Amino acid sequence: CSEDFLQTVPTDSVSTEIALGTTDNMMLALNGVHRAMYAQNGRISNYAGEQFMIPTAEYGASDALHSTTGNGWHRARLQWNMHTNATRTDVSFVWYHYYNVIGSVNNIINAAEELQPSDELDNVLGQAYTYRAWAHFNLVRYFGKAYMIGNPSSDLGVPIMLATEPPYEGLERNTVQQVYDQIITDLTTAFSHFEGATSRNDLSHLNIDVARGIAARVYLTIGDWPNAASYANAARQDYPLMSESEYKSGFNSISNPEWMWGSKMIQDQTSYYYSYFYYCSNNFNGSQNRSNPKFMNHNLYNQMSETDYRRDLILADCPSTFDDWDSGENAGRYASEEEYDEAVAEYRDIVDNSSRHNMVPYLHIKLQQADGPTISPMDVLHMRAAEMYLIEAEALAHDNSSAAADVLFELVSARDADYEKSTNTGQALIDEILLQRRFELFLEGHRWFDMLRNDEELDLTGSGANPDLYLDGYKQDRPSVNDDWMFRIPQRELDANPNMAQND
Amino acid sequence: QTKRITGTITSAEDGMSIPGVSVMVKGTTVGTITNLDGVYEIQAPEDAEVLIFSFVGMKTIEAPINGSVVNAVLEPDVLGLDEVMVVAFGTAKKESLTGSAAVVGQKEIESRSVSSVAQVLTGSTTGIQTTAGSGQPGSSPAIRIRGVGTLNTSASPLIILDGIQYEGNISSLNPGDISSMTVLKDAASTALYGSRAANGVIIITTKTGSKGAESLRVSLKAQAGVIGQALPDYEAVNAQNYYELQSEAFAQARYWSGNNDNIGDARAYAYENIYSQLRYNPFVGVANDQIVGSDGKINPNAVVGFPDLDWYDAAKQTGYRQNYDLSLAGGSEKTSYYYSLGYLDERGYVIKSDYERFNTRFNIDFDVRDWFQMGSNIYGTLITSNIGSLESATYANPFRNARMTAPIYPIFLVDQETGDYILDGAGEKQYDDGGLHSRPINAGRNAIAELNWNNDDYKRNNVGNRSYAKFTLMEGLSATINAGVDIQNYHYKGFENAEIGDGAPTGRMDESRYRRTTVNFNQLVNYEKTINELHNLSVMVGHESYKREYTYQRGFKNQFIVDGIYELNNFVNTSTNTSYTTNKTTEGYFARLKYNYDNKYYIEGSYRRDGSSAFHKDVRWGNFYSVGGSWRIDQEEFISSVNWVNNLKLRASYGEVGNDNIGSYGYQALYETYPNAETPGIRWSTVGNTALAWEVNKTFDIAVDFALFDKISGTLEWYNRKSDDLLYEMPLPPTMGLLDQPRNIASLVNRGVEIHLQGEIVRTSDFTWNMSLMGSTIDNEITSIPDPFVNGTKRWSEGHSIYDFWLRKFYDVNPENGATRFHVWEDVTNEAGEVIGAELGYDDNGEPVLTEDMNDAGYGYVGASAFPTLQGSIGNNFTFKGFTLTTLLTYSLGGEMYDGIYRGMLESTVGESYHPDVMNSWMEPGDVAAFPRLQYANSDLYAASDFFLISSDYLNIRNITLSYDFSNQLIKNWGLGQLSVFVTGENLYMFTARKGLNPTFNFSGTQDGMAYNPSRSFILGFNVQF
Repeated sequence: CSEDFLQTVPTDSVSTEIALGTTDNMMLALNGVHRAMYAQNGRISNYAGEQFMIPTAEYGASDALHSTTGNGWHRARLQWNMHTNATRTDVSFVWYHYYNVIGSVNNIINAAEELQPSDELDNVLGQAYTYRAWAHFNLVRYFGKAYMIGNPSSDLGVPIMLATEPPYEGLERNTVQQVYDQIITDLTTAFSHFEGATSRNDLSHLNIDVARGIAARVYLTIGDWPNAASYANAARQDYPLMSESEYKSGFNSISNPEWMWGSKMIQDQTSYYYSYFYYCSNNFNGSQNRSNPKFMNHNLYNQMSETDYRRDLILADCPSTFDDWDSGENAGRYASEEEYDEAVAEYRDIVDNSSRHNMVPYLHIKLQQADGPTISPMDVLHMRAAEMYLIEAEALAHDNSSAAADVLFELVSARDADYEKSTNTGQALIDEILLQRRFELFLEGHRWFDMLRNDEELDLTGSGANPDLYLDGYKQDRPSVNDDWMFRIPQRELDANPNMAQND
Repeated sequence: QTKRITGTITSAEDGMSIPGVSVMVKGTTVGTITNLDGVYEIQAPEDAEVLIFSFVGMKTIEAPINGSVVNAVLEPDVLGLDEVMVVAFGTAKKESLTGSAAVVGQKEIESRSVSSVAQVLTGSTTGIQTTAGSGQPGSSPAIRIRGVGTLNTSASPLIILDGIQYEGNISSLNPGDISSMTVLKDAASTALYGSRAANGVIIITTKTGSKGAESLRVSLKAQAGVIGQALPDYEAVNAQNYYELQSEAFAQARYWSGNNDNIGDARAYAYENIYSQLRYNPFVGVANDQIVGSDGKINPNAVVGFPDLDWYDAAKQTGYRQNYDLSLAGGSEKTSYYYSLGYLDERGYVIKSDYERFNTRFNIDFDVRDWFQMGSNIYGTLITSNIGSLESATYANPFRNARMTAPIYPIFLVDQETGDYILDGAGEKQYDDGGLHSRPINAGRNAIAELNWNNDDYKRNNVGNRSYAKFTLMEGLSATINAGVDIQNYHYKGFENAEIGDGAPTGRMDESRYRRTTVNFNQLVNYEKTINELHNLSVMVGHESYKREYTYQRGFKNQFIVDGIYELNNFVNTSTNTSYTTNKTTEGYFARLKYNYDNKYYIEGSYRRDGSSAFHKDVRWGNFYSVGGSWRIDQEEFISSVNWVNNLKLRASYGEVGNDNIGSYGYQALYETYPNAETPGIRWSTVGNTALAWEVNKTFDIAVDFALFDKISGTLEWYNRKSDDLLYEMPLPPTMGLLDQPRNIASLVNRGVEIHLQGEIVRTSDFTWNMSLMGSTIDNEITSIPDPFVNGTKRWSEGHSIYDFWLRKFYDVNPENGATRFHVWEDVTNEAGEVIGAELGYDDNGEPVLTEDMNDAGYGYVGASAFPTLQGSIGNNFTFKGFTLTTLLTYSLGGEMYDGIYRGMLESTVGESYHPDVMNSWMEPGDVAAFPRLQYANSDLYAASDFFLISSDYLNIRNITLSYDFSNQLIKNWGLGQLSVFVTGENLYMFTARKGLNPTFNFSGTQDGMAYNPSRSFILGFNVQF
C-alpha cells in the first residue's frame, strides 16, 4: 500500500490550522463560542452553558425559591451542599465552562497575530477579548473573595489564562486584583478593536455595547462608580426599554428590543432537560417544573408597589396543589372544594401549564414557554438595557449624584405608571435602587453576585421557603465573615494542577 | 493412482467403535472421518505409508499401511500432549511451542450452555481475568489477559476469527460453530500481530469438514431452560424501620441547620412531622402525625397497608433460553464442507430485555489441483434485542430505581386513606409518578411504567467472509493469500412515551444506525525443510493490510403525531440529525523463523513492522519482535529411560508488541462542526499530540511444562510484562480549556506466577475423576509516570499499582456528636517544595490529626488494591458409566473493592432507602458507634473514604453440568452415532463479603449501581449425531 493508505482524517472536523487560518474561519470558531453559551457541553457534564449558570446564580441566593425537593436538580445548590463540595461535577462545570471559553478565544487571539488586520478581524478580536474578560470576571466572582469586602491585592483569585498551549501545565492562582487588572486590560483592548470593526451578525455576537455593559458590571463590582456609570450609560443607548406587553411575554425571545445580548435557540439545537427554562420556568413541561414550582420570596413581593406591573408576574394568590383544599397554604382561603378547583383551573389558564404541573402561592410567570406547556427551547438572555439603568443609577447614587434618581425614574416609571421620582438620598437611595434591581432582574442570574457585592446575609425567614428543604441554605452569615460563599476549587483541577490552591 | 483403505477405530476404554475420528494420510492433505459405526474408507495415494488417527480427548496415533485394512485402537489422552493448536498464522503442536498459549477445545465449549462463547473463557486457563458480564441477554464478559498492561479502558485482547481480525461482538458468534479458542498470552506467541497484540490475542477457529472418502455427519443440539438473577439484591430496611430512621435524619437536619435549637425539640418536631418529608403513609389507619411516637419508635399499630411496594419484583419476569444448533459436516475426495444453522432465543429476568439470534455459517475447502487449494468461509448473523433495562438510563433504570426507592412508595396510585388502588376510568391500575403526593424522589418518574411503555431495541446483523488461496510452489514452499471482510450493521430504535419520563409530554423517538466494514488482506509465503531428519526449519514472510470504516447516522425527534407508530416520520420536531464517518488503517510486514534440532531444541523468532493511521506520519511505524526457545528434556536419552516422566519441557521467550488503541485521530488538533443556531460554526475539540506513538509491551516468560506418571500434567510459569509509553487520555487541568490530551504517559509492569495442574485422581473401569487446578497471581506496578494524577478512586504514581485506592481515611465516629472523623492526609514535599505524596498527619503529641470536614481530609493511599493476590479456578470431571458430571468453581482472594452502592444506601436522603447497617448509627452523645449520625443533606458524614472498602474475595460456582451418553451399541440400533442428554447450570452461586456485592463487576474494584445484575441459568438439552 502507499503511504496515503495510512493518512486518514475525520469527516466532521477540520484541523486547527484551517480553523484559525483565515479571518472568515476565525469567525466560525467564534460562533462555536457563541454556541457554548447555551449548548449542552457534553464533555464534563451535559449542562448547557449559561442555561446552567443562570440558575446557579439564583438558587442558593434569596429571591427565586424552590417549593419542594422536586426531582433533585439544584437541590444541593439551595442547601448549600453544592458549591461547598469540591468533588461535585456542578462545581467542575462552572470552572470548566468559563475556562473553555477562555481557551477557545485565546486560540483566536494568539493565531490572529499571523493575519492581516481588517475590519472583520477587528470584529472577531473585539469579541474574543470581551469574552476573555467576561469569563475571567465570572470566575473570579465565583471562586475568589468578593472585591469590595476582601483584600484584593492578597486574596487568591483564579489563574489568568492568556495562552492555552503545550505543555498544558496548570498555573497558580493570581490575586483578585491581578485578575481584575487583566479584565480591564482585555476590555480596553476590545474597545480599540471594536472601533471601526464591522458590525455584529446577530444578537448572539458581542459588540461594543455588550463590552461596555460588561465593563459597567466590572466597575460596579470593584466600586469604581464613575466608570460604572459612564459605561452603563453608553452601553444602553441603542436599546429601548421594553413595553408592558413585551415584559409579560415570557422573557423568551431575542426579538425583544431591550435585549443587548442573547442566544437564539432553534429546535434542532435544543438542550432538552438541561435548559434554563426547565430549571426556572413554571410551564416548561418537565418533571422538574411539574414537581417543583418556583416562587418569589414573599418578603420581596410584599415590597412591590400595587401599581407595578411586574407584580402581575407573581401569582401571590395562586392555590397550592400540594395541600388539600382546606389545609396548609390553602387553609381558610376557599369555602369549598369546588371553589378551590375553580381557582386551580383559573390559575392553570394564567400559568398556561398542564394538569400535571404543581402550583404554589407566589408562583412566578416571568419566564414562560412561548407555546404553552412544551419542552421547546427558548432563547436565552445574557444582558439587557434595564440592568444598565440600574448599574448607572446605583453608581451615581454612590457618588451622591442627583442624576441617580432620574435614571432610576426612567426605568421604574416604565414598569409602574404611578411611580414617583425618588426623593431618597444617600444609602436610602442606594437601597431603593438595589430593591428595584431585585424586582427587575428577578431570576436573570444576578442575585448571588449582588449579595456578594453588597455583603448581604442570607435569611429566608418569612420568604415562604421551607426550612426543612433549605436546611443550611436557609440562613448564612454575610460574605465578609463567611468564606462558604466562595465556590470550592474543583478537585479535578487540584488533582491535575500541582500549582493550584484550594479555598480554605 | 490411489489405493482404497478401510478400517474400524475403537476405544481402548470400552472397546466401542468411535464415530467422527479424523483419518489423515501422513504428509498429505488427504483425510476423512469415521462413520457412525466407527468405520472409515479412504483413497490414499499409491505411495502412502502411514495413516494418522486423531480424536478429541484421545491420543493421536500413527499406523503403518500394511494392507487394505488398517484398524486402530485409541487411548484416552488425559495429558493433552498431542494437541495441535491454532497459533498466529498457522498451527503448531503444543510440544513445539516456545511461547505461552492455551487452548479451550471443542469439548469444553460444547459442554457449556452459554449464549456467548466468551463466557467459557472464565476459569478456563491461567492468566485470564473476566468480569461476570451483564445479565442483559446477549452480553459478553470483559476479558483481560495477564493483568492490565494498558491504562485506557479498552484493554481487551485482539480477536482473530479464522485468521483475520474480528471486531464484532463475540456474542454474535454461535458457540456451536466454534471448534477451538486459543489464548495467546505472551509476546512470543503474539508478536506476529505486532501493533495489535499488546493485550493478548484470542484466536477463534470455526469447524470444518474433512476431505477423503464421501462422508456426512449431521449433528443436532437442542437446549432450553430458565434464566434468573445470579446475585442477590442489596438488603434494605422495612417500612417501619425506615420511618424511624428517617425521623432521626430529619431531626438531626433541623438541629444542625439551626431550625431547632436543641435536638430534643428537633426530634419532637420530626417525629410528628416526618410525613411532611416522606409524603406517603403506607400504614393505613395510622394518622400522619402519629406514625412515629414521641419516643421515636414506630406506632405499634403501624402495619403496611399499601400494595405493590417491591420495585425489584415489579421489574422482574421469568427468563428463559432456548437454543437449537443444526450442523452438517462432511466431504468428498477433493472437497470438505461444514454448514450450520443456529437459533437462540433468550429472555432476561428483567422485563423488556431479550435477545434473539440466527446464525448460519458455511465453510468449504477445495483441492483444485495438487498445487492449488482454495477455500471460503461465509457467515451471517441476525440479532434482535430489547434493551429496556439499558445500564445507562438513569431514572428509568430498574436496578437503581428499586434499590433507591424506600419501601413506602407504591408502584401504582393508591388512596392513602384506604390503601386501595385508584383506578382509571377503564378500571385499570395507574402508575404513580409521584405527582399527586409530591413523592420526594424520582418526582414525575416511574421506572416500571417507563420500562413497560418505552421501547429500546436494536437489530444487528453481521456478514463476513474469509477466503484463501494456497499455492504449493515446490515441496515445502507455499504461498497463501487470505482476504477477510466483516460487515456489521446496527440499527437502534428508542421510543420514549408521552406520559411519564423524559419523553413526556410529547413522546420522542431516537433512531441511529451504523455500519462498520473491516477489510483485511494478508499474503504469506511459507517454507519448510527437514535436513538429515535432524534439522527442522520453517520460515514465513508476510504482509498484511487492514482498513476499517465506521459510518454513523442518528436522528432524534419529538412530538409524535399518531400513537403507536415508531418511525421518525411520525414525529414533528427534529432535535438531532447527525452523521459522521471514521476511518482507520494499518499495514504490516512480518517474518517468522522456526528451527528445531531433532525435536529437542527449539528456537523461534518473529518480527513485524507496522504502520498505523492513528499516529502522525513521522512516528507511525513501529517495530515488534520476539525470540523464544524450548528444550524438551524428556527427549534426552538420560531421561527417556525414566519412565514416569511423560513430558518435561523448559521454555523461555521474550518479545515486544504494541498497541495503538487511542482513537482514530488522537494526534490531530481539531475543530468540530458546531453551528450557532442558523449560522455556521466550529468548536475547539482536541489539542492533538503529534508526538503520540506506540504503546509497547515487553514480555519475558519462562515456564516448565510437565507430565508425570501418566496421570498428572501441568505448567508452572512466570512472566514479567513491562509496558512502556502507555497511551492515555491524560486529564489536563480544566483551566486549559479542554479536559484531556492523548499522551504516552507512563510505564508499568505486570508480573505473575501461573500454575496449572490437571490430572486423573481416580480411574477404574466404570469411574474416573479428573481434576484441574489453576492459580494466577498479578503484581502490577507503575514504574514511571512523570505527572502522577488521580483517576477516580485511584491515583497513578510510581511504585503503586494502577488499582491502588487513593481515598480519604476514615478514623472513627466522634462519640460526642456522631460526626465522621477523618484522619487528615498531609502533603509530603520534596526538597524543592513540590508535593510528592501524602501521609497521615500526627500532632506533636503523636495524636492523629482529625477533621470532620471532608474538604480538609485530603487523600492518600489507604493500602488497598483492587488486584487480587490469587485467583483461579477448580474444575472437576467425574464419569461413571455413561454419566459425566463436571463442575467449575472460580475464586479470587486478597483484593478489595470500593462499594459505592453501599455508600448510597447509608447516606440519608429524603425518600431513599437505607441499608440495614444504618440501624447501628450514632444516636446520643457518648455512643461509640460504627456508623455516624443520621442526617439529611450532609455530605461530610458519608463522604467517600476507605470506610467503603470491602474484600472482593469470592468463590463462584460457575458451572455444574451432568450429562449422560447413551451407549453406542444401543443407539446404533436407532441409526444414531451419538446421543447424549444433559442438564447444566451456569453462575449458580457466589460467596461474597456482603450481600448484593458483585466483585466481578469490573477489574478496577468499583461497581455501577445501574448494572444489570448477572444472570443464572438452568438448561436441559440433548445432543444427537447421525
